Amino acid sequence: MNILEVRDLKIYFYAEQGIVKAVDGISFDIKKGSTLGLAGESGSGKTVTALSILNLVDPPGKIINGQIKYNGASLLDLDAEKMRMLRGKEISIVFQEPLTALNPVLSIEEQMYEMLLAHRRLSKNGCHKIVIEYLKKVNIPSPQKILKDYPHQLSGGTRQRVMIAMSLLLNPKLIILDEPTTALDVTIQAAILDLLMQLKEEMDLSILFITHDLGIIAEIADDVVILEKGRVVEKAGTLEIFENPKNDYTKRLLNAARFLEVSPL
Amino acid sequence: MIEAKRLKKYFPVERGFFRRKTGEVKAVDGVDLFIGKGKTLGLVGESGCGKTTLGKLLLGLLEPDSGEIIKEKGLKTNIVFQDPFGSLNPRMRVEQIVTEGLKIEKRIEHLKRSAERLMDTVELPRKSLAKYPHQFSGGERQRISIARAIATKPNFIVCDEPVSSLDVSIRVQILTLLVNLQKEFGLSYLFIAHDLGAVRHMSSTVAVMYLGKIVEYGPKEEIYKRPLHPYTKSLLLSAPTPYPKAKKEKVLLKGDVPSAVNPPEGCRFHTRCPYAFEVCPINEPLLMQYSTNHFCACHLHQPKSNKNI
Amino acid sequence: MRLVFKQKKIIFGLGLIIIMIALAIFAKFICPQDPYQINLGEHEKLQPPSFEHFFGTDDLGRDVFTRIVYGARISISVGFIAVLISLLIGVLLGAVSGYYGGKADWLIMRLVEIMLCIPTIFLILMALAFLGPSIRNVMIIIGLTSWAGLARLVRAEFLTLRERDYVLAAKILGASDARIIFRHILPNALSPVWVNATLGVGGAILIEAALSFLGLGVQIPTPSWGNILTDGIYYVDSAWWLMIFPGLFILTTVLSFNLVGEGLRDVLDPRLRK
Repeated sequence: MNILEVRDLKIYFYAEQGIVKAVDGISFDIKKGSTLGLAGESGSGKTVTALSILNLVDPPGKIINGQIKYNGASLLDLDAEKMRMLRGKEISIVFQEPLTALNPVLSIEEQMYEMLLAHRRLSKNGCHKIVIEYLKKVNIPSPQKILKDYPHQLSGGTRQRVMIAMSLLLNPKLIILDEPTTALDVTIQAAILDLLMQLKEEMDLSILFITHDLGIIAEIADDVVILEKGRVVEKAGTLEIFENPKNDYTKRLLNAARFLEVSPL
Repeated sequence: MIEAKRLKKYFPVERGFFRRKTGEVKAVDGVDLFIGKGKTLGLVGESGCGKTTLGKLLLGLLEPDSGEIIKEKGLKTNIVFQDPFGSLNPRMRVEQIVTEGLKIEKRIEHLKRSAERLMDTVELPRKSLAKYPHQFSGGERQRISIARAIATKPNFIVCDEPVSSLDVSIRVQILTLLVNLQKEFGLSYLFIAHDLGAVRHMSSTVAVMYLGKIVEYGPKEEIYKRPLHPYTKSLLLSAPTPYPKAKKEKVLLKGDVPSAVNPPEGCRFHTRCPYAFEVCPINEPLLMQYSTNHFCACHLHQPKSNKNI
Repeated sequence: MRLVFKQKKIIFGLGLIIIMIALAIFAKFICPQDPYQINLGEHEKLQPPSFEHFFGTDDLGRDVFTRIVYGARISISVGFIAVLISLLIGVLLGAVSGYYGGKADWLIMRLVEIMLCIPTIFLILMALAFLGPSIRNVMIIIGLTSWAGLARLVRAEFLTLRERDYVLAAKILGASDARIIFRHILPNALSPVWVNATLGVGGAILIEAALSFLGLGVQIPTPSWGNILTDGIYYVDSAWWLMIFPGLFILTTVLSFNLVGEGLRDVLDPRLRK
């Protein structure tokens, strides 16, 4: 059973110099309860693909072809209001840079309440309880202390934990993680990845994990899609890709990643 | 080639209208190091640990508050930066960028020829010389940056995370180029990185830094095979590896890196260390010798001697 | 550069400015009449617009169109020279302030604050009262009183640009301060300066017109848009053309410069470009 099916998706950017085919006919599925790793280097179209699922592609970019089905229902045909209700509640997204994804003039508490109240009718007390619960879920040691803080007052790791808590606030079924740990230090990254895998089990999530780092893919993904310049060059189960890569580009990426690997000699 | 002794650099934190000093960022807090001719020291640490400040001190871009830098006679330095987009002047052509150092040194004969040779050395087509930085990819810009750094024939180069913002496949190319240049020109490098990945291919010696201090220092083989400090272990084990079956025991650290303004008392790492015990928050461990050239600052181990680096 | 010409605002504004400058330069060929030619004949003075006199004649029987065309010389050159002076001072002080920081910065910024606190028009009026009104004094004084905003702008640019890696790289190569300032920082700091300067030309033209209108600027009988307006004030109810036409020229010119300035800002500001 697939929670998400993407078929022949094409996203073009109409720039002054001509048309840039950022995504050029890609297809993939995410099985319910599984983690799909979408891997590629810069310019592979991985982030635009993520944005397109929630219909967040802005001009000059345009989805010109394809199907995106969530639980069998087409997402591209939804009107703006229905899409808004779906975001956060069914599918949510976490970006690479939490500092730009959070509103700098609202406290953590205000942002999280706002998110809740946009979808549910709750008292202030009710909001407070849920927010604390979710901040605990993401292993923030004393959530009370950061409620009144503004995003810039938090460390990068804590900010990303807050972002994850926010993205889970409405109990979505599918969560899109767009390089969520790239801006973080390795030791913080390890803790966040660990947390994500734990939350996935706990909340029965399906995950689309977008990254350039094949190491992360190896560690957390069930299936892998390798993108190059807007096209799928290889897709398979994680073990299959890493042990028996077929495509030359995949092999090259894998060799580079293994060359630069960090591990005891 | 270059040596640092008890190097310190604090930055004042100023607040309010009268710019009162309210604290200090202890960016570099008593660092010793030594880099030999033709050798590379890999300097590894996470953001805010003071590694870039240390690099700037060695280059003379900052004045140390105390300690000294001993330079061999004839030492000539340069730098390659992390960000390939902010490190090249967008209004200058590549030719102007790479020959600027020669012009400043008034070595103006054969400028064109020198520029072309530099392009050959960093493996860029000669016609690149007429272009502007924005016409190049990240990896190509990094090559231009390297050409600028080697143009005046320095013998010591600080590489400040030169591949961190590049795609993985490009990283390998740039590292290879740096290694080849080192062999060809006998360069010494300080290779700064935020993880232990690229360092392995670059350096003979590795120093691990945490909150302004070097916590472990030693030959590459020792650091990777027998890491002593829990922080080094965590750096080694927490990075994901591209082998799905490899089940590693991880050393997960607690919490975030504390601020360098008021670093924790005792061992600066104790707030995150999974093995911390009673002494750690009280006594600051000194960098001590464990085997030939392998130094570590941690209460968990019994040192052989307390010789300096 | 191609982007610059894609902007409709810039093309439109620049077109008008070029027409104005052409009028100023080729005044002699466009208007064969003498702007100082007085004609006191009963059928010559205060005539409404006709084929003979496009914009009519004034109370001394002079051709208003001719006077406006010759006035363009004064108004536009005042605009350009005043801005040139304020550019020189503003960029220099802003650069020193932003690059060196410390005491020089403190001193210059206090000076800027003082300049910005006193309304410019009072400063100009005071200075003109001492120096006496003349075209040259008007240019210099407008220039001397309008650099403060520019200096602050340049300083802000320098503060961010001096931290750039390529500036550090130049320092390591042993580049002198002058080389760093003029080759590495200034060229990258100029975009907002051009915008500001373009808007400044319009502003300076307005100030000149105001001063001449008050009788403190360009002195009669030399025609400038400001004092043509002044002449018209006594006949505002009988000879409308005396005020409408110079007013229109001032309006169009200032608007053109503002259009170009805004267009440049749109093109040069990367935040608006995306």
